[in-house]
Amino acid sequence: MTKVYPGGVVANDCVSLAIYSGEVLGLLGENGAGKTTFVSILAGVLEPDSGVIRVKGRPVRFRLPRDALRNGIALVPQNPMLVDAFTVAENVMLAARLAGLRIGLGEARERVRELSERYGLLVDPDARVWGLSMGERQRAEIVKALAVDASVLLLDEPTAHLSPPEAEALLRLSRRLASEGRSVVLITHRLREVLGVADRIAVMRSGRLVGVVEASEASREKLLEMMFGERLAKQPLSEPRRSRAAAGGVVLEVKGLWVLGDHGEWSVKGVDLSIRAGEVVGIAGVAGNGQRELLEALVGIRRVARGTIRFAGIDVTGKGPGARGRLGMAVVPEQRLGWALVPSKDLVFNVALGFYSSPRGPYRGVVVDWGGARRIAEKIVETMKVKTPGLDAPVEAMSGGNMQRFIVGREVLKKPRLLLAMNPTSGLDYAAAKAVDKILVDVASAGAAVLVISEDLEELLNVADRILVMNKGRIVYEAERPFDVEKIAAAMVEEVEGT
Amino acid sequence: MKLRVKLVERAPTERGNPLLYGLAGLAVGIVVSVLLGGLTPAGVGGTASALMTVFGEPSRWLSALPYFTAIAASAAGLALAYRAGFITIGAEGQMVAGMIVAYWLLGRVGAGLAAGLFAAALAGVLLGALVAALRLYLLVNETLASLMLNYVVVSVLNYLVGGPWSAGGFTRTAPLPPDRTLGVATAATIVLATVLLVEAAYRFTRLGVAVDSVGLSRRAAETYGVGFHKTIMAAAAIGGALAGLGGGLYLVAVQQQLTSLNTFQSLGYGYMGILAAWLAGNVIAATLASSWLLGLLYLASTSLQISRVPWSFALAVQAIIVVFVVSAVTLSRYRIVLVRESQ
Repeated sequence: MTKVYPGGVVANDCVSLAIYSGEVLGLLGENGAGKTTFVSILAGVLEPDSGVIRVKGRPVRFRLPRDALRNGIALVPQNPMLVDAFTVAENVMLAARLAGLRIGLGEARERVRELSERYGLLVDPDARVWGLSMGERQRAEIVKALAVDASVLLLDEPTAHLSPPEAEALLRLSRRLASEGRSVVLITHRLREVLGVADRIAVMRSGRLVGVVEASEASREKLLEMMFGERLAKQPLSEPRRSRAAAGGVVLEVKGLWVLGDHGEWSVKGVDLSIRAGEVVGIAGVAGNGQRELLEALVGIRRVARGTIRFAGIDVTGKGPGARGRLGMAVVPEQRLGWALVPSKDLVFNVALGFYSSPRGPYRGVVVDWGGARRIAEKIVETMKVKTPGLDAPVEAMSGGNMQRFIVGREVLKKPRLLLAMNPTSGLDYAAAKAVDKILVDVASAGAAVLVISEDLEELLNVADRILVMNKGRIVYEAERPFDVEKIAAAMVEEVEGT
Repeated sequence: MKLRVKLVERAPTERGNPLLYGLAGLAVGIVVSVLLGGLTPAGVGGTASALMTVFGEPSRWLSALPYFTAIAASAAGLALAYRAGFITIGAEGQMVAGMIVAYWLLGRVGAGLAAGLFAAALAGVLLGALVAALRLYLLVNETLASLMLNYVVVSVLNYLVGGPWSAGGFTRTAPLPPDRTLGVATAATIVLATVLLVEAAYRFTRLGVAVDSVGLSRRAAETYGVGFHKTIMAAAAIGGALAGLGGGLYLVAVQQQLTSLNTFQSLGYGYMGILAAWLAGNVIAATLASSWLLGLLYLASTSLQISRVPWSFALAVQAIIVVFVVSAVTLSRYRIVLVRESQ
C-alpha cells in the first residue's frame, strides 16, 4: 500500500502485511507513523494510490466502506463514527444494510442486546448516540462491527477512551474473538496491551513497516527500538518528574454542584472540589459517570442546576466560557475535532479561536492581529514538535496526535490560571503522552491549578497530586500521594449506594 | 486494462484560481446555451446574437447595474449569515421592508435621503433580528420563518399601494420627489462600499472568527468563549441591514415609486441573492462578482425574450450557465486523473 496525502505527506510507503484468521495482530507505531491510514485503506475509507488488497487470496478493490464491510472487514475507528441522532440499534441497522444484510430495527435491537450480553459490552440498543460517552460510543462501534458478522476487526486505539477495567475487558474480548476464528488488528500505543494480548506485532514508523515479530519473542525494549529507532537514545522516555511549587491559594472551588445530563437525569450529584495554585488534581472514573458533564459545567457550556463555582475568587456559576476565559481558564476538551478545533480551518484560525477570550490573545480590541496569531501558531508548532503540512493547511489534515499536541500547546501558551483537560493524552504515542504529562506538571509548577479528567488511570498516577474518583455522578473517593491503586480502581467500579 | 477518470482533491495551496475557472465555465455555458438555442424559433444564430448583445459587448455590462445593486446587497448579507450556519431566505422581505420604510420617510414624511436609507437598513435589521430571535429563543426554523415573513411584508406592501398610499386609483404610489432619488451608479457604489466594509469586518475583526467558528463547529466556538446567540444575532442583523439598505437604494435609484408585487415571486432579487451567495461560496466580497453575473444573466434573459426565444428557454439558459459556472469553480479544487486499472 502506498498513500500520499495532498501536500505530499507520504502516510503509507509500500506497506505489505498479512493478517491471519484466528489471530490478534498488534499494530504499533508513534503518532503519524501511518497506522490509521493503513487501516482506513483496509476499511475502504481511503483509496490507496497504489497497492492491492487480497481477501482470502482474491484481489479486491474497496472504494467505499461498504465494499470492505461486504468482504467482512469492519473498522472500529479511534473517534467513533456513528450517526449522533440515531439510536445504537439504528446505527447497527444502517451498518448492516451497508454490509448487504437486510435487517429490520427489531432485529437490530435484538442483535445489539444479544451481542452486548454475550460479550459483556453493556450497550443500550435504544440509547441515542449523542448522549453516550466516548467509552460507550467505542463499545457501540464494536457491537456494530460484530452485528454485521465481520471476520476482520480493525480496532484503532480501542482503549484510548476506556478506563483500566474497561480496557482489560476489551483486550480479553479481542482474544475471545480471535479464538472464535476472527482476525483482530489492534492498533495501540500501549506496549503492555500488545504484549499482553497479541499473537504477532507489526511496527510502523514514518509510513513504512519496520517489521513484524512474534509476541512471544518481543520485549518492551525491542518494540520501543523498532518504533523510535535511533531517536530513542536521544529522547529518554523518563517519567515526568514532579518539581511542584508549594501549593498556593485556592483557584477553583466547587460546592454542592448538581448538573443535569443530556437526558434530563442527574449526571453530577453534589460534587465538592477545590484546586490550589500549583496543584494537579486528577479525576478518575469509568467513562459515562458524569465526568464530561462536570467538565462542561466548569467550562461554562452546561447549566448548573444547584451549587456554586468560584474561580479566581469570583463566583462564575452563572457566567459563560468567555468570562471564565478572560479570568484565565484554558481547556483541552475530550474530543479534538469540532470541540477543540474547527476541522476545515487552518492552524492560524484555530489559534485565533482558542485565544478568543484569553487576555493574551492576538487581538487589539475587536481587531484580529493575524500576524500575531501566526506567530503563536509557529511557536506552538515549534515547541510542541507538531507535524503539519503548513500553518495554512486545515487542521484536519494532521494526524490525531499532532492535533492533540497543537491543542495542548495552544492552551498552555495562554499561561492559564486554571487548566482543565479531559483525556489529554488519548491517542498519543508513548513519547508524546509523556511529553504532554510533563507539560501538565510544568504548568502546575509554574503556579497554575490543573484539573485532569482521564480514563487512563496510569496517567493520573503519574501527574496528579490528588486523585478524586467519580462514580455515578459523585466523588466517591479521594486519595493523595502515595496512591493506593487498588482502592482507586475499586472505587471506580464499585456500586455506589443512594444513586 | 481499464481506464478510470478520478477526481483527486488538490491541497489548499495547489488549488486553481476560482475566478478563472468560473469565467471558463461561463464561456462553456454560453456556448452550450447557444447550441441548444437551435431548438427554439430564434435558432442558433438568433440565440447567439441575443446572448452576445449582453456578454460580448462590455459597454452593455453596465446595464446590469440596477440588478447588481439589488442582488449584491442581499447576497453579501446572506453569505455572512450562511457562514454562521443561519440559513435564512429573508433577504427578499427585508428588501421590500426597506423599500416601504424608505418610501414612507422620503415620499410621505419628507425626510432626507440619508435618513430614508438609514431607516431602510434599520427595517432590515429588525426583520433579521426577529427571525434570529424566533430561532434562538423559540426554536423556530429560520428558513421557514424568514420565508413566511417575506409573504407578510409583500402583503403589507400590496395593502399600502392598493389602499392608503395608492396614487390615482392604481396599485402604485406616486413617484418620489426628484430630490429624493439617486443615480444608479451612485446606488451601486454605495452597495459596493458597504459590501467591502462588511468583508473587511469579517476578515479583520472578531466577527469573522465568531461567524466561522459558530457555523463550522459550534461546540468549539462556545468552549472558547464565542457567544452563539450573540453571533447569530449579529449575522442576522448585518444581513438584514444590507438587504434593507439594498431595498432602499433600489427604490431611490431604480423604481422611484412602490408598485404592487406578486406575493410569491415578489421582486425576486432577494431570492437571487441566495443563488449569488451560493455561487460565491459564501465569500462575501465574491458575491460582488456573482451578483454581477446574475445581473447579466437577467439582462440576457430579457434580451433572449426580445429575440423570440420562449421565456421558459430564457430561464433555462440562466440555469445552464449557472450550472457550468458552479461546476467549473468546484473543479478548481480538484485534479482530473486518468487511472489505469488491471481487471
